[in-house]
Amino acid sequence: MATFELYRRSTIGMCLTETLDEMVSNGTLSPELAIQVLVQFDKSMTEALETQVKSKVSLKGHLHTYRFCDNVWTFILQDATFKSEECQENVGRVKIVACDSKLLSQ
Amino acid sequence: MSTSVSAVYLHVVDAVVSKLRDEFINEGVDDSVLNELQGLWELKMMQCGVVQGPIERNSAPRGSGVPTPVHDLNVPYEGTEEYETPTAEMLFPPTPLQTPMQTPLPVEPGAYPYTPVGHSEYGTVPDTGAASADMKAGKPAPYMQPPSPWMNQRPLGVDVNVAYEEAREDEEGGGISQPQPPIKDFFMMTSGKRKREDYQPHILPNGYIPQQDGSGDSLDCSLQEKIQLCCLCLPWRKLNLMKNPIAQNSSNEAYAGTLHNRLKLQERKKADAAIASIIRMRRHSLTIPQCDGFDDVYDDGVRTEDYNTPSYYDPIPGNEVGTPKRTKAEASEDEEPPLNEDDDDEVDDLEQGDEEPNTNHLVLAQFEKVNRTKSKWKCTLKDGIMRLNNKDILFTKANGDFDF
Repeated sequence: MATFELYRRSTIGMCLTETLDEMVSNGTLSPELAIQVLVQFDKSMTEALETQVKSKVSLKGHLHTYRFCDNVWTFILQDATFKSEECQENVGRVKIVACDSKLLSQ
Repeated sequence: MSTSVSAVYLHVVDAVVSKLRDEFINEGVDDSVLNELQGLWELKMMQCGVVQGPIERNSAPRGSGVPTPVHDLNVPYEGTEEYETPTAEMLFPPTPLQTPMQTPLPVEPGAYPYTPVGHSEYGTVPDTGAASADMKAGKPAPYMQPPSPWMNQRPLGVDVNVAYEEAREDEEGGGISQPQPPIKDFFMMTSGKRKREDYQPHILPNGYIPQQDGSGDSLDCSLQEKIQLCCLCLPWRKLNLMKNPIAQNSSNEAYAGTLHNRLKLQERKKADAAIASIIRMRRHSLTIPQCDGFDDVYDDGVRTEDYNTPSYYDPIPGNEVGTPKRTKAEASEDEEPPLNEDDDDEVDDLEQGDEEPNTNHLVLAQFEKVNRTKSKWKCTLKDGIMRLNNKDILFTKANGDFDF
């Protein structure tokens, strides 16, 4: 089953990648097992976001760049505002990377 | 109240670990490896600030049925003994190896491009003879005795090492304990004698030897001077030769002598022309056009010049006998053409602008719909992780309105 490797670029994903790199470098873990860990992380992360998270967010901003390649949208926003029921965040520049949700359900 | 970000992340960690436990067992990997992975992962997340410690876990029984001890994650992770950095004793057994050992080259410590893991622990290993015999395979520690004793202990002598041993013995005879290449070369060079074979004789086909034996000699003037001298020689020789036909007895012999002289003169003129052309060639050959690296002029006229290093086209001062010495920067730049990998960095920098350097705000999600009407973009995202202002925010649905 294909997974989105997208979430490996998040904070939790980068922490996992660094941990696995260290363990593979000092020989504690084999590279094959490390890849299996990452694949399992992809699945678990996607599932957790579907089931454990309930919040909704609205975003606004000026679209500086848009790109659609290999079924992946990449937007670069300037002066963006993110509103959720709990908080609001304003950032000067943000990159949005989005994969096609239909690919997972196929 | 929806689950907090920290709780979601910990849930993910637990899910990953529990689902991989069977896989690790099937691979024959010890459970402690998985625990170490989990511990390190959580520690890193705490350092990033996305997970708050101490981590409280419910006492749900794990698959194996053995409850794992909850260790305090507020302290730096201390691995168990078996996962400590391998020491020399672990990597190299105390008994000397039977196979012929690699002979370390007599270089200064630190000149090795690769140091095997664990050799940094040698400082703690007692300086026994066996240990030093094993250590010779790697980087010799500075406190070590001179290598001569254990070198002689080697049971097998590979042919390659014979010459090396002889060199070492020579150095020991000189009273040097730690052989160092600079000293070695120095001794050889202070013999003071330079053999003529060391220098390539620059003899032209006609026997003309160009000489640049004064500082500041440049090719142009010195060789031109030589050409002029050769030309000046001609009238003198002509006069000299002309004297001879006068001394001849018969007029026929005089005529023959004159003809002979004229032929010789022509020969000399041809020789001079040949010399001049050779000189021109040599001058030209010093400026071989190269478009493979440093100091090239590209099509768009953009020329990279480094004013700190001498250019190829500058006249080379000093003795021309040896190959012209190039600086390290020039040599390295000339060997590999520039990859131009930084050409596009400016574009990225434009996008970055003067934003705060600490965070690169990022949203990772899946899109359900993206559409545009003129310059109005609308998109629907789902299941996303946002990293904004050093905070992690999760969402299950997001609506975006952008104007382009």
